[in-house]
Amino acid sequence: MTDTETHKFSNGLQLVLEKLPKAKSAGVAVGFPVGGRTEEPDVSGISHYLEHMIFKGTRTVKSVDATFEKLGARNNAWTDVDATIYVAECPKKYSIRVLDLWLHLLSEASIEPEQLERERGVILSEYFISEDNPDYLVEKTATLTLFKDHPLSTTVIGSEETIKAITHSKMHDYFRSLYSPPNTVVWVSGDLTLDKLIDCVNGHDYWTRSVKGSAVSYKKFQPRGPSATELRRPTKLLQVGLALSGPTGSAEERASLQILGSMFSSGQSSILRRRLVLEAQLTDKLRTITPCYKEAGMLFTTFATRPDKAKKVLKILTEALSELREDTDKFKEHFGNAHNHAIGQLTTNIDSTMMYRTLQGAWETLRRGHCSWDELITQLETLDFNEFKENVAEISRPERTALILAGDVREGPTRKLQF
Amino acid sequence: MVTFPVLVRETSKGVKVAALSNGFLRSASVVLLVGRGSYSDPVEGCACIDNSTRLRLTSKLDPLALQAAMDRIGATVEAVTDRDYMLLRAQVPSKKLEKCIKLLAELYAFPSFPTSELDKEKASQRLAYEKVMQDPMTASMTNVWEAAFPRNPLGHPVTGYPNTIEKITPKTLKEFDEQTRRNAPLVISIVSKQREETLVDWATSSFEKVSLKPSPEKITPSPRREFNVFRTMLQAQQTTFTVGGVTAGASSPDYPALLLLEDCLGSERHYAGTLFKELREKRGLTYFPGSRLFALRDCGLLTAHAGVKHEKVSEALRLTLKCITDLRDKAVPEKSLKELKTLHRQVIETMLEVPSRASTWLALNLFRGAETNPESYMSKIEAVTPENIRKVAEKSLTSSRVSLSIAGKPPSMKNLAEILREGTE
Repeated sequence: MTDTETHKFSNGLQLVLEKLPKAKSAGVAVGFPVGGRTEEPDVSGISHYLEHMIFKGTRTVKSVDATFEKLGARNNAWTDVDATIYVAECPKKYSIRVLDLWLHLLSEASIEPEQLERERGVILSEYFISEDNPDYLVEKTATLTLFKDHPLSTTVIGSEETIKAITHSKMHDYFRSLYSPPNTVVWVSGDLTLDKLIDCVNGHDYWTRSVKGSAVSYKKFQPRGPSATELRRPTKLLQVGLALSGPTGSAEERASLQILGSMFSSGQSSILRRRLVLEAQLTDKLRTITPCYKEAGMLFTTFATRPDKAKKVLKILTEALSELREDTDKFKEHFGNAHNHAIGQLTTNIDSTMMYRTLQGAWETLRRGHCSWDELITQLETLDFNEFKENVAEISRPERTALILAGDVREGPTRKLQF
Repeated sequence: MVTFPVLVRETSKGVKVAALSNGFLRSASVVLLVGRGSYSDPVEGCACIDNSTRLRLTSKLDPLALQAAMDRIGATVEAVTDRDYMLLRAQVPSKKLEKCIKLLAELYAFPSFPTSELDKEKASQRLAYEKVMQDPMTASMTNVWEAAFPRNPLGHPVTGYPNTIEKITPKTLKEFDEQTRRNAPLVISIVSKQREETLVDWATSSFEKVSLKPSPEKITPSPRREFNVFRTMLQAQQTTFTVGGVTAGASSPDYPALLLLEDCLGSERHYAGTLFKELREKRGLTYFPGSRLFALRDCGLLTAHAGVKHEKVSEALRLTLKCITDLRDKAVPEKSLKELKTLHRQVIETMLEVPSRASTWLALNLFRGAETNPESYMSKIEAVTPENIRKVAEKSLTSSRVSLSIAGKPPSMKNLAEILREGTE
């Protein structure tokens, strides 16, 4: 079984090693609590744009991809609502050099004005992909709708207008104020020792210098729903997104949200899969995610249906939510299967690619301050039905609900919706 | 090369099994691959429905009981159908692996196609088709097969079309399924923490009642005289195009050179290929340029794609064709090829530690006649010369073998034909 070792530097930088005995490859992630929630509305999308700019290199590393590839490494990065994480997977023997390269890029990025302009076209192209694909479109609108009036209310990628409004000086200031040691988590998975990783970080003055506190603050989320967003699009199908917010302060609350995800929509025998796919055949498949941010969690599920079935679909969704809220005992017999499904999902996610594994480790550490897979599995295993029931009663409250529809929404179905 | 001790066995009943053990894993992945896909459809969409209905019910388990059985062991099972295969892939905590293999054996052996459930699955498949066709990126990538293989069973979408899906009956499916289980090769691959011998034993005992006389169908692309263009009009923010070239298959000696050709353009292993450099880095035209090699056993399709603003299509398409023809006309420098090979090996080694990817790679290579032993696979990659790559590019990327699929607001057919003609000369 694997476990983690942690070292916290005096300036707040946190280093985590997930020990994987005999693993031939390794994963390296560097993460910051920087994302849609740390942006001013007029430059929405700047965190994601900055993530792209890091790959433009430094004065000494001109070709970032080629440099990683020389180390047998594949790299990538993700920007989310609450974090940006840079990851790479590589043969074990190059892992220290890969970490060294990330630390160099993330402190010395040159961000030249000419490159910034050229990259704007790429960012806009990515934005248009998210507009053309109903699934992405609904997902990015979910956080915006669900967390309204809170910093978590963001699309992450921004809009055409805000992407065009991002200037070189704003980008430079944003980078320098937020990519600082107290905000940094380094996560490495592999058959390695912590000492060598500490030495590597110590080799960078930027990451070992003293800096006063974190520039990121957090605010309690107060649900103010139910809320809804309709996006008119010239598509034949209607994309439906349902999002629920959940408290994620305690281990029981987080575990409840994960198990509810399995029970409600991601499990093969989940409530929505049974009713929408197996019985009424109103959609072909559901996609569910359950991110647990620091201030709140989200259970988000999305699927495509035919516009003329919208009323039927919305009726099934509202009934399922009200049953969950008022008659959770009814689902007691499904709790065991949902429990097993959630544990299965977590273990297969952990064993996903080294990139994804380290991404999740860094994410969890940024959100909770620490992460142990064993602990997370145990939290799921030990949650009993009564604790679950209490938390579900909270999560399924109407004010914690948001509905997003994209497609032919001329009839305005969300206005008729009764949560 | 780091050693990965893959164990491959053929059971006395004709089932091929590949197993790989990895001590640090918490989860396992099993792939059950049946060597028959949409190329053999009696009605377009048949193989896809046959495969996905297996996850709906069996003759022993009704839909709810089957879904609950999967959740009980914490398994996520998906059905994937392609032109030459139908596969079921399960990911499960490793301690529940043996039960999961038995469940997959049941899904394989006891299919059921009652009209009521089939109607639901058909509705589901029609929806899946329409979803793909409303997004320029997925529509373009799906329709490139139609462009490359017109009037050939390789061309139609794996899901079939809404009108053909409608025509599929329980009788069609039953006959298709019986024929498949009699003659189609069956491959099982497993990646988990248990010893390889244990994994093979579990597969052998779970499938002991299966008796096969495999006679895989030869997949033949029809000969083409000139390129074909497939346009899909969509109201979208961007237009996506996909250029396709017909290639040899995974069992061909050209396969290693084709993989490196894909890497040169920009593959999942090496996305920063020439397309990425020319279209994205130098000009900021697109977020998502790249290349994919779809190598079936006997033939394949090498594609290059990009999604751009409508008014930039001509420029981006010309650049893409230039990237392609450069590889056809000039040999890749030795130094670059050496670096590509090193990266290729390291990416394969990293991939082999990921259960779902490793099990899929093993099953597909075993079925399609490519190498399953990582060391032998890499020796073949190492042996590729710059001239080998130029030659496979020459064979695949000539105007007689190139096709184009474009979705969004494409230029006129005449303009596109001209760009293709000039670009592939």
